[in-house]
Amino acid sequence: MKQLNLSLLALFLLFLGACDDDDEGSRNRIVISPGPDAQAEVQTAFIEANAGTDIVFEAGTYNFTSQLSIDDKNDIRILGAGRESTILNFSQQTGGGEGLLATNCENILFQDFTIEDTDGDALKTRDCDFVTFLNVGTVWSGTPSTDNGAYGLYPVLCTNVLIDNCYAYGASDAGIYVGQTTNAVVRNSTAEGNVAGIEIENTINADVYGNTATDNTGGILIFDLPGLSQYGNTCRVFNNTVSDNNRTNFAPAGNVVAEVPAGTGIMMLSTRKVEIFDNDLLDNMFANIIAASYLIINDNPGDPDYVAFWNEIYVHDNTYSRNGTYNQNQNQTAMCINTFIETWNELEQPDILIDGITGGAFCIKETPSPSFINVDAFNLDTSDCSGTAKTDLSIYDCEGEVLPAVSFDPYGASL
Amino acid sequence: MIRLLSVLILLGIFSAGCSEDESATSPTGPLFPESQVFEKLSDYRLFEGSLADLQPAEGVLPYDLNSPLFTDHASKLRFVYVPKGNFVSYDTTDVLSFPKGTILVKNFYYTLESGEDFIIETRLLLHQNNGWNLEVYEWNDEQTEAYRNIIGNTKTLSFVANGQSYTVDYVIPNKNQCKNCHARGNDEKPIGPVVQNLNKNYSYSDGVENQLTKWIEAGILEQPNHKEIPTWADYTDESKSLNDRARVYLEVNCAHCHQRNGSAYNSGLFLNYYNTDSLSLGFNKTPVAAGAGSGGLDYVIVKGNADASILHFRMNSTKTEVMMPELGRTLIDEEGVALIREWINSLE
Repeated sequence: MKQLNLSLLALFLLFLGACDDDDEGSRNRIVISPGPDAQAEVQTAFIEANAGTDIVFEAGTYNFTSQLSIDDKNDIRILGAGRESTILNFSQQTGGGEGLLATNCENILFQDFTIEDTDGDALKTRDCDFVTFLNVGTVWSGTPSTDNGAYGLYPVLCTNVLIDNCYAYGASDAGIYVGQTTNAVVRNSTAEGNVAGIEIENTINADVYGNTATDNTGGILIFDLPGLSQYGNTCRVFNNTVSDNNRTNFAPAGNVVAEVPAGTGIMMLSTRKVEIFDNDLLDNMFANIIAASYLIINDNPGDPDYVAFWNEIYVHDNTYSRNGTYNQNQNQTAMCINTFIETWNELEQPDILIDGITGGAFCIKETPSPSFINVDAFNLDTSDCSGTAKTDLSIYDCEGEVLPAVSFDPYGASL
Repeated sequence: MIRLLSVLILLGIFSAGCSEDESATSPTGPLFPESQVFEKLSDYRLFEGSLADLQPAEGVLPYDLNSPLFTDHASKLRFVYVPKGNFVSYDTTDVLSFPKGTILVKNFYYTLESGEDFIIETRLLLHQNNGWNLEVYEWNDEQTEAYRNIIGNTKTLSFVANGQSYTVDYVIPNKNQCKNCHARGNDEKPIGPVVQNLNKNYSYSDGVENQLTKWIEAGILEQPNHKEIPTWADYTDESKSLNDRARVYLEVNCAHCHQRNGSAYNSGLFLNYYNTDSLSLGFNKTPVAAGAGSGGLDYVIVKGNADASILHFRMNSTKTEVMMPELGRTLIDEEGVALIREWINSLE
């Protein structure tokens, strides 16, 4: 008993030299500098930090050789010196599914650093409440590649998540991913060079606004998948710039995002209660908006409680343009839909594309009218991709539900 | 470095004169720290004589499991200590609920090419006032003592197992990595001591006996009120059914995370022995958040086709972003992969 107290005391004395007596003197402060001891120092801090501690990475590049993890903590801030100046590099990582992993935490904030070149996911938080990411980057350097890790920022099974002013590049799945979470705000962030720029999956109450998603395969995805801990609903996507997401899909096959067509602006998959408004949807050349059913990917979801049909979608007041170059390098399903549109119906890829696998409500209020195609997938002949497109937008001219803003009091920031 | 310094400071303080030597020379049975922990393995007085001989003190029982977790061919010597006057309720639905004051001890060692055994680490599960505390003690090269290590380590070792030579970068887990596998919701729990996995004979110093019988005799396990005590197969025992062996293998190697309260809850893949739900067992289940772990394959398990099954692919890899389990191994469990391969290929 005595021994541990003394070792903590010894640690404390060592850190005292680095303490900062400024305005936030009430918080403990553990300062980490780049160098060979950083790995052990950070991991020690992540294990021993008490509530009210700031773990501070000084500017510089840190080369970590294994996963860093923090578990079961409250009121912790992990702070760098800036997204461009504190780089946590994991290219020499030998173990762990992610670079930085936080589990079972409450009130945890990540700010002002970039995680680079992890083997797996970059920054995952699981089973955490009140998680805030401010000005954090996740980057896989070089030309985006299938060998890159799957997710950049990756809160899953969390509540009350704020992602603000972050940056994600090169993820082979989603740059910014919120999964199986309740209450999430993703705002003012940039995602480029990923398969999916921003993905909201099986999440309840999400606001996605003020972001830039560009040069991904798909800009913003709102997906609902079978067999998980919860089904999603209620997502607002507004005031975003979603442009030129025409990158060839480089996700490892088998993953759901590998099915996203190159040239996707905003895509909904089997989700309900989504409001998409006031966005600039520019030059996403497969379609600026897609609504599709999971049945297109897998006709046997295997989950009896899962509803595979999208429903209650409201699209209004967005700006559309289609001046880019269509990417011919597509997966099988996308290729078939393109054949259906261009060869059999002599149309161009539209602004809004729906699969028609639904009886659900879809309202569109746009001026001027965007181009529109309902693939009517039930009647599409998959042997040669022939069928008749439905292009009448007037039947979708209705007022959908205006969804409420996500409301919570994020840790270390405000909405 | 900081840890080392703090250990040095500690050593300095304690060598100044306390009872440490006295307790080592006059053992009075295990010591259980109620809320803190000891910095040295010997402080717990779990063993008598030379520490590396791992001769259990009175009240400390060795035990074994029918099917253990694969950890890079490391051999394991396990012990249990339940404080006198306490016992464990008989329960076959979950890992046994040990009383406060219990210590579960797992020593990891290799037989070196010289023929000598080298103990790498001793992991303790201490059931303290605030729940289970997971502690790791790393042995010194002289094998005279093991010191508490919370941040983990990597040790390059050459050893012999099953007549084969191996070199491994053995990973001693950090405290959070321990929790990753032992997490049950917001708590931690032991994994191994399940009635079904304990139900086997053990060669005690005073003869061979069924472990559960021994535990009941020793007063640490409640007498079950029925005769049928379930058992899990030794997955290497080819006299047992292929399905049983495979399901036990998945239980002990995967299900500690891949269950509803485990760390891999978000995957929706649950590999517990008693799970009968086809989708969550992985049959025609599409991967979730697998990234490169999908290997370009569509489903976790495709009946009759191991080569098309992500489960088999991930077991058969040592790439960080692909391999499963994520922790606890750096080598492929060839035997386990062969078993799961045969099992998947046998399914119709």
